[in-house]
Amino acid sequence: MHSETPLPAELHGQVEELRKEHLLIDVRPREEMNRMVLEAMEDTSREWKWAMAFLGLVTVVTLFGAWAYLMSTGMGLAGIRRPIFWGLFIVSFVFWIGISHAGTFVSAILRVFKAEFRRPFTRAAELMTTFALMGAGLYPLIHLGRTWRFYWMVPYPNQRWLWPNFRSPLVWDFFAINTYLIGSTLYLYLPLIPDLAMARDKSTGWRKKLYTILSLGWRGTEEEWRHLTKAIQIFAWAIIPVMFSVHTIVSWDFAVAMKLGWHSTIFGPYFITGAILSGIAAVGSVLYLVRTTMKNMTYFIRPEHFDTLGKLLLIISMGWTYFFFNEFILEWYGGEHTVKEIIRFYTQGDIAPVWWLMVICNIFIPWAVLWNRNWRRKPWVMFLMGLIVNVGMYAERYVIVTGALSRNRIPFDWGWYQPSLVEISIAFGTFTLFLFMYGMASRLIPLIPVWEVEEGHHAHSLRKVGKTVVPSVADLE
Amino acid sequence: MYGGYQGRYEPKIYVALFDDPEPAARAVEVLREIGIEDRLIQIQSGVPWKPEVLGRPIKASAVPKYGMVGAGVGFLTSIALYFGTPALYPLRVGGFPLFTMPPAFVLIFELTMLGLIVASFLGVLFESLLPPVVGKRVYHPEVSDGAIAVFFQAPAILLDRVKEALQQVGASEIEPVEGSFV
Amino acid sequence: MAGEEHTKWVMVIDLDRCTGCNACVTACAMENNVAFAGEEENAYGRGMHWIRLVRYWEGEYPEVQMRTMPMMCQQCSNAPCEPVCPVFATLHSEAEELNIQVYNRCIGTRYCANNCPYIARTFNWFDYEWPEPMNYYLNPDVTVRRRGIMEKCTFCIQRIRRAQEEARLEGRPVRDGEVQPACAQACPTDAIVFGNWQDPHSKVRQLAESQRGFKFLEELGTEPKVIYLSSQRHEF
Repeated sequence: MHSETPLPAELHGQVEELRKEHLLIDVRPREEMNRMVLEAMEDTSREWKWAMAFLGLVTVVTLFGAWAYLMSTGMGLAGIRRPIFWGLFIVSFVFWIGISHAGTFVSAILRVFKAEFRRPFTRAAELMTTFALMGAGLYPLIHLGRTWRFYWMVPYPNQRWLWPNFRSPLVWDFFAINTYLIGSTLYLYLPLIPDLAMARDKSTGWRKKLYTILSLGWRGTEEEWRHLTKAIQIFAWAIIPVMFSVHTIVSWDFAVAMKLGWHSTIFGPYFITGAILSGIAAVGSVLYLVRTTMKNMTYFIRPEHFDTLGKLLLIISMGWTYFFFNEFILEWYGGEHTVKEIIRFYTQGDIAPVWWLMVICNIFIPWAVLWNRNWRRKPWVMFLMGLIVNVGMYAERYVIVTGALSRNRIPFDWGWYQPSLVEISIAFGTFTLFLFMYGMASRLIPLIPVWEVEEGHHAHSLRKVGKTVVPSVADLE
Repeated sequence: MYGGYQGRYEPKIYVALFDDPEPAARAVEVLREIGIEDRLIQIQSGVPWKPEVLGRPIKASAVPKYGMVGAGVGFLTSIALYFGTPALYPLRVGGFPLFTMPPAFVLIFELTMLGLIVASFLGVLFESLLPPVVGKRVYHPEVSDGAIAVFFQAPAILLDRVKEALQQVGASEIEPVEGSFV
Repeated sequence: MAGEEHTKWVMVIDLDRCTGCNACVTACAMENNVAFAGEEENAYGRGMHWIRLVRYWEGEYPEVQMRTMPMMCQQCSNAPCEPVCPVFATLHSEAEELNIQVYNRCIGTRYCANNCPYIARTFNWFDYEWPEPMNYYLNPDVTVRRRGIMEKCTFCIQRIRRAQEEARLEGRPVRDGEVQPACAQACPTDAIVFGNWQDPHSKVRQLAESQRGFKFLEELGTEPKVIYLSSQRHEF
């Protein structure tokens, strides 16, 4: 299939090593890759069924059950109290919005820059975006005192001619999140169509019916490819600024407020960096789960991918640290009483353990581990790094939301927040919801974009340079 | 006999399968030499080969136009919402003026992008006629296994010549298929 | 027409006169149907009071002095709580220059409460019940709020309205001192005075122009309509 100039026999050892290392050099026929991906997809083993049943049940009880209890009884079931009016719900909201940046970062930014290593896991990451956004989108509803009136935020013509307040950051949130959710779902779906057509050709029974509908009669004609690749290009460019806008607007929920500890011009980029940090970290964890629990995935997801993710994670952790340092040292130098008290509260007050947990998880541990190539290449290390960084990022949001609210300009009204069982249950339930949706989707759609991997195979070849061979890339896109 | 005579000139669609873009491109060349125009040829593939690779006419996609129109609609919607609705029911908040520019940018940006994204998606569907609304269209399932399928429309009288020429450039088999191009 | 002239309602609170007796808190709760959150909830920080006494201890034992400062919604002209509400549940009334809370419109995002530098807003965490016999004392002029919505001091707008209507019937402007919010009415030392700023002879105007006057957190630019009087400047 690949018309390469034959390489001298003494280089075969090197070639073998390169094949073992790089997915895009290790060419396998499309048929075989199709079979591998479909096998992984159709592998609804007993373990998977139990896991899904368990996750589904836990989600129904801890998320939807607790939410119903909260709605029927009152927001008082949460641990929030004056002056801390926002608690774990908003923390989780910001956290999941952050996770949702993973997919776009991997599948749009890396696609625009033609970073070849992205190919096998663009979809796995984009799927995270969609599901994380769905999880995040629940929180603005959950945290409402009157959830059943949420539609008053939607601009629709009504009898009273009353429209939402477009000057409120919460309305900006509504638009930004919806744009991002619709955009990223379509962006997930577009490159999926050819793979769904592949699944349609290869499957039988209910799956064939499902994929026939979902693949929209895709045939892979020149016309279809021309429009599809053009649209993917447009999407990749369009979704990047949308992604930036989403977390910027989420940060503005805090930054526009007349609240010390929140009112900061650096919050936009600081939040975006944090979001990408937690997103990339989560991609590492999810890829580890995909690689270890699904069939044939060791071929597609390799140490080289964890290595690259590790490098990205390290760089973004440094970027985050830069913003973090800016945020605190400049405020501290400013010397305003309340700000100094807030910083004292963060570093030495009741919330200090959480604040230090954030510093350790987001700075010390990544920097101590990720400089080392051998550790970056170990999938389980990257799995743990993903969890650790996300604990750190959860802590960061916890400190920003509840810590800043605990201190204000009237010392008599200082407070202290502890999450209640209902809040913890709902926050936990979103994690199981995410895993449940991801687990279900992994058995319903081809998780590896086979056509993109094949395209990568065509683009890569081995070239003899002097006494060695090196992989080289042709620009086929 | 009349019908048989007619049948020899009636164009039918045939498919030739190739593994690589190079023989497929040569096949297109060969077909052109025989006299089958580009519009009577359709190539289906499992990966997006550029028209330059296959030696096919280069056309621009109309999807960006859809995107622009969608972005325009989104932009106008945002202007109408942001500047129109406060005029319907003026409510003062926080000492702000009724019409403020900075928050307008947020809404304008989000709705413009939403329009662009949704319209580009719809553009792909309309331009490629997905999902199909017409009858059966030509397809070969080996395309999803990475084969490059060259479909061409030729009268039966030319078939022997075409077969010979295509086999020379490495086509596995040439078979007639049911259906239409679009 | 008389009674409908432009008004700007202002409250003056003389801290030198405040004894910290809490009568204002009680009167406000009675007048405005403020829910009884109960002892436990109050201790947890969920008291529903629209007015509260911000209390500080000064000095070392035994020379300890208590300073109190009644704190409620300051009816800011540039209220930070207003623009952040997504559904216009809190907005500016142009006729009275008051900060209005529309209970039926509120969906409970609690953003306004976070953005209030005076921590003036209280949230209905639950549907509260009035213990017997207090349920017979509910004020028919004031809505009873349900769970999940925000509420705050209204400057007893129902009393303002009543005074305006009576004045209109009698064809005269509202007299100075005719409108008295519950807190001002209950204050035994007359530390709280309420009136129309536009009336140059009103008592509030006279008091507010005293050298002792200041607005709390004035540097934020919220333009509060509560003026505190104090002969000593303390770090509040």
